[in-house]
Amino acid sequence: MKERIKALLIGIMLASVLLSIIIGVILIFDISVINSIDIQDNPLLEQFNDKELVESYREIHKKTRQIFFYKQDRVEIGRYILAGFLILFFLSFQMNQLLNKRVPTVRDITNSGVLKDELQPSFYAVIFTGILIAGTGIIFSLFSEPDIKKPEFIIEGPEKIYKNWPAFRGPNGSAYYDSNHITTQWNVETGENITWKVEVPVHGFNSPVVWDDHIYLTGGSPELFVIYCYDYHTGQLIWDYEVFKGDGVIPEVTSDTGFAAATSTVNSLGIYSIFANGEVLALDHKGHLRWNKSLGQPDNHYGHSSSLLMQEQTLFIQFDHSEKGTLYGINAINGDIKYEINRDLGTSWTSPILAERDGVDYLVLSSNPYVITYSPESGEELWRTDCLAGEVGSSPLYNNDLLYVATDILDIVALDLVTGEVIWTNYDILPNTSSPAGTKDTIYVASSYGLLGAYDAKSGDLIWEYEDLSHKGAYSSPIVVGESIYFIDRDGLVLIFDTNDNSLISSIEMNELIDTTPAFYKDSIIIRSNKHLYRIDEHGSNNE
Amino acid sequence: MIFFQIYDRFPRPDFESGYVRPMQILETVQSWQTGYFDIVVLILVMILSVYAIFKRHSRRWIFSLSMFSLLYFGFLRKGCVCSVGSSQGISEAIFMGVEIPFTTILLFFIPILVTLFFGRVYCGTACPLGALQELISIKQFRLPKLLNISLKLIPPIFLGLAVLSAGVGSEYLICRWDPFVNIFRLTGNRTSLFYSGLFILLSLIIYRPYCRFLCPYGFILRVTSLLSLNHLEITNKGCNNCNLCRKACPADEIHPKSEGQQSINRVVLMILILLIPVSGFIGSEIGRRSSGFIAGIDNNVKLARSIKRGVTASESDHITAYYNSGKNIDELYLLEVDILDRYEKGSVLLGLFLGFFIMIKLISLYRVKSYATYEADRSGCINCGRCFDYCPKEVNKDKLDERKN
Repeated sequence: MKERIKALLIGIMLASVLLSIIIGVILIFDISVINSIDIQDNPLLEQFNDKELVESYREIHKKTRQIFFYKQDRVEIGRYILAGFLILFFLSFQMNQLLNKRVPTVRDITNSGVLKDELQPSFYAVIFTGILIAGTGIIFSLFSEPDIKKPEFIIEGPEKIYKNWPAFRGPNGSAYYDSNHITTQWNVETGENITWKVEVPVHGFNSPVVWDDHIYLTGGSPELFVIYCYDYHTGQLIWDYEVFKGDGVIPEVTSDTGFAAATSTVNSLGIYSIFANGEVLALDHKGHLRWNKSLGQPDNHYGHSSSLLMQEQTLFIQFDHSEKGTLYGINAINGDIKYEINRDLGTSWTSPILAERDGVDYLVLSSNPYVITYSPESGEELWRTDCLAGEVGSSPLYNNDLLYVATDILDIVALDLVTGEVIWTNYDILPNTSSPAGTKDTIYVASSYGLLGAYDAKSGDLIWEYEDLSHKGAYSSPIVVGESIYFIDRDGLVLIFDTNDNSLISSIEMNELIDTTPAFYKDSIIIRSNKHLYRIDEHGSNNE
Repeated sequence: MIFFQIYDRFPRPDFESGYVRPMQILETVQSWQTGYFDIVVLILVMILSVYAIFKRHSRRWIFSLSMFSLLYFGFLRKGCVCSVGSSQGISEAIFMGVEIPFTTILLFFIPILVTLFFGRVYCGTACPLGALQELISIKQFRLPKLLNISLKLIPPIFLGLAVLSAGVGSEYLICRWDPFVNIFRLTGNRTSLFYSGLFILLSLIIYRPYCRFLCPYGFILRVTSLLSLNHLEITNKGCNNCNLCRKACPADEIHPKSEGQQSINRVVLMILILLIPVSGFIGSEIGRRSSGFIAGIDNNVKLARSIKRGVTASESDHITAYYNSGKNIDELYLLEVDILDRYEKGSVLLGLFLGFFIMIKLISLYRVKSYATYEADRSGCINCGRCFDYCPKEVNKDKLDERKN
């Protein structure tokens, strides 16, 4: 019986190998025919006027195509048949081996095991292989590209950052624009110096940011969250991106915070925005989504309002709410979380800024009760100082080696950037929502009760105050522009002072509710009011 | 595959030539249920394998299970229900935070768990790659022992590169360099078919070349098997030291009886131990310096480098596709820098690991182990069961059973 089975198996082996060879040859032939046929229609045919010739060519070509598809189908089936016969061959071979137990034809092996006779050569074999591996690695290293430094055109160095207005209160949150050519006169009634004025469909309390002639805003309502991109030259809406529409769980926010209070940030890759539901988005400058991420809906009784900030490839998000506070460092290219630092501080409404001294960068965040600095690269906490209280809405300012923070129920504090040591405090005039701005010698604040004030930057003495804002005060943060400072109160009253002597240069009524901070770009002022977006320039100046 | 009659959204054109539109064929989507069913099948195969190896001592059982695995995991599931590749998913999940299916985690850990108890059972019967090599192994030429030892240093390198590549989010190298997936799917481009053909030819004359000298998951199982509680016993009827099993073993993984008498140069041993950190440092430095070259694996890096070299869209479909996507080229360059940074960090670890591994391998050669009887190597034995067929005690046991019946 066993012999019969063996004979059968041998027969199957021979038959299957023969059939495999035949099918293999047929398949090779079919594949070569397939590769030689071009089934595409010849475009030159259209040039021929002789219709009969064209028709007969087409007839021949049709037959060629039929051959092509026929052979293609045959190859499709043939490969399964070939595989089947080959498997049959090997299976029958192995079954024959199982039945035919005989000593395999290998060279005799001596009875020496892993003993000293084999130790030395094995040792050298491993050493030799190890050297070979190391040598291969060294050869790889010779062919490695040299250390890749970030190309200069990618790194947004100071020149590029300061040519744009990429974040809340300007580059790095500095609240400064270096120019003495900004107009101090315009009239919304007559249109004097108003280059354009456009309506913004959905309101938000975030401020405009600008990059390469694109102005970005976001808007938020219970029905719609949206990102807008306007053209700097014409004011035309280039595109809008609807983030959320219609159904969905949205947080409860107050009317003076809204769903889009946080200002976006922008770089050469695009715009980055956050909304009150914790949704973060990155879009490119054409309005295409690059990535999005949900940080979870924050429990914030006014609504999330901390603006975004960026340094090179890292996006910083201050996400403090009543359940927990977190600093996120996110890879701006792909949205990966680089670090997530637990702040354990409760809710805040301030925005981070970047500061630098002696080549060391500091990411500064303020909340109740601490001002904390972090390494932007790693999120490592550098120092913290307990100096704030209440609901902190005013963001920090870095000016001339000192850090300034304020809260309206306590005081304004100057700290050393490196050590966090408190240098001075004062409580004469304090901001609520507005953040300070400064010159070399003076720190300016706008209160929420109609007062503007200036402190000596070094001593903290109150050196000036102005009492002509509306009783609603200012939510907008002042910006130092060259040797001037621009304030806007909630009623849309723009006050421009000379920082040399704090004299009033100009007072302009915009007659609209304005809670946002203006942007400055190419010597233009970009102001967002409750309903509109303005571009204001000195007519006849070489802005463009 | 399932044949569907797709309902048209728009009416079909009236073909006057009598053309008949072919039936549309759609592949079924693998549901989570199919994934868990595969796990159940894997577990059953391994349970039966343990029975076959430890109770039945039967090469036929092992071979049959192996062929079932080839059919199911190989041809039916197209080679993609694979513990070998699952290590990449684990790496990606750990280092990139990517969510992977729970079935992938099970595929990775179940064979390891079984190995801890019973040795490399997975390799013997459940792995489709090994099963295919087992099927087509016709003549098992023995490699010189020194070559054998040297080639066994390749799997940890491959494992390191695969973990690195998956861990930085590049690609799955094990899948890209799988020589048998083309056979399971009966398709492939010329390069991959050539590569498969090479391994097929090697497998005809060398026993399981992929398993022994390349498989990265096999390396993990080798190391795990050193700790296994139980291991294949050639016979439990008392070895008579006839050497037949050793002659039968195509992988040369059976140790003869020996008393372990050898002179150990303890000074050399101490030097080797002290050189472990030095070797690790050298490895990490070589890894760091070669990271730029290794990063060339990544498609985004390749694309960025092509563009920087001046390759134009007309010369490259990939570049054309990138430009047509509307993406910003700056983004690609920034991504390249990001990927290179990750490769640099990963290559340092890879070099460190390989540096340590080489030294530990050298030290392990001094391990004095005596064998009272012929024993299969704990880490190298793949549990193919060929030794059972040639052990006279096992053969006689079968004959005794037949006589009883």
